[in-house]
Amino acid sequence: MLAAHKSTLSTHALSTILLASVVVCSGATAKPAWTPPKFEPRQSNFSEPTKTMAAETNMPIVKPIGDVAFLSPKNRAIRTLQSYHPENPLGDISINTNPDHIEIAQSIIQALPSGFPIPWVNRNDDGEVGLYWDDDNAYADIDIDGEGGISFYSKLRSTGDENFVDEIALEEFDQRWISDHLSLLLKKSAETIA
Amino acid sequence: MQLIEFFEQNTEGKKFKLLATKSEAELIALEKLTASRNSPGPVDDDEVVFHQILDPTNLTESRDGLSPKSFDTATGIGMSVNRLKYATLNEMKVLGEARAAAFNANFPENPQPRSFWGLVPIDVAVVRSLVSKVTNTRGLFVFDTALPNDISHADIAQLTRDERRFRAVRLELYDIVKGSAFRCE
Repeated sequence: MLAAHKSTLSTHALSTILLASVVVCSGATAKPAWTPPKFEPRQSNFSEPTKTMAAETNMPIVKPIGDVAFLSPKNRAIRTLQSYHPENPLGDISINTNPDHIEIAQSIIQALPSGFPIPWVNRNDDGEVGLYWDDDNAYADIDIDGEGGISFYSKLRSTGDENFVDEIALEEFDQRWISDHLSLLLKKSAETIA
Repeated sequence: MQLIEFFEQNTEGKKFKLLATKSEAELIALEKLTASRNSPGPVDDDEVVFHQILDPTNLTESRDGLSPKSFDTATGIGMSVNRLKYATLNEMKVLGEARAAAFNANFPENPQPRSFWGLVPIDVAVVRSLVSKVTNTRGLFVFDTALPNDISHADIAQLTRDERRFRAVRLELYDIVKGSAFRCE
């Protein structure tokens, strides 16, 4: 809906930043105090291999390999949500998230069919939880507001087409809703890429 | 309205929600005024500002930048940034570390103590150039909300009044900074 001025920084801004970084890094110490800015694109969760997602239902929550534990995307999202729980002994006590809203987000993730991309989880400073999908061509998010209200927003980057739905009941998150609001978005992305 | 007085009287809470009731023309005019007695002057379009990123708050799950909901703060208390014109990156780092230390002092028992993670640069001209195709109005504004101990402080404010535009503007802001965050060690 917004006229997009591309998200990249201007040449002026970049040169200023790089110059500033060099100045900061050029101290007397052997190890630079700063690492240069990274401009690598973030890994997309749209491109997670389907076979991994489909197979996850039979996998244990944590698969230890040596001293490293790998989580399936769904379990990664659930684990992050549970880390927001106010009774989590390892949680952040400065941010209060309503446990009911964690349950709502968890239910939405659980409603996604096998093989469907799993969203990233995030929350704001007020403790409000959200889910989002992001890749170069498509973006979608689901917010759960302070009263537990659910809303959905998506944008197909290639066309600028947006969709916004407010006051969604949790019961609406069935296969049809997902197909109407998320699968079509992903299908368009795939067609555009192809 | 005197902008300095407005910000002095609304230092806590959702000050930018109050400003969101103004028209675009009023907001553009206000943006050209000084918002703080400590400020060296309003933020120019050609400036670059930096947002401090604290770990673990607002980092993405993959810990490489800011998540979309971290920009929700731009709607209420404002998204704090530092102006490169008035602070070096090293000074911003020191400010970020002090911010984390102050937080940790307030929550000494917190299992997730804050630490300064890094910075993300934001081009003021780009932020101010985002215009809604539907309403043909701007969604983001930048004010020189300097602090007594930090004259470089400014705020990016998202001054939209409906949820749909709020989400569209949030995505734009997310896209602007995506991939630009860098860690400071």
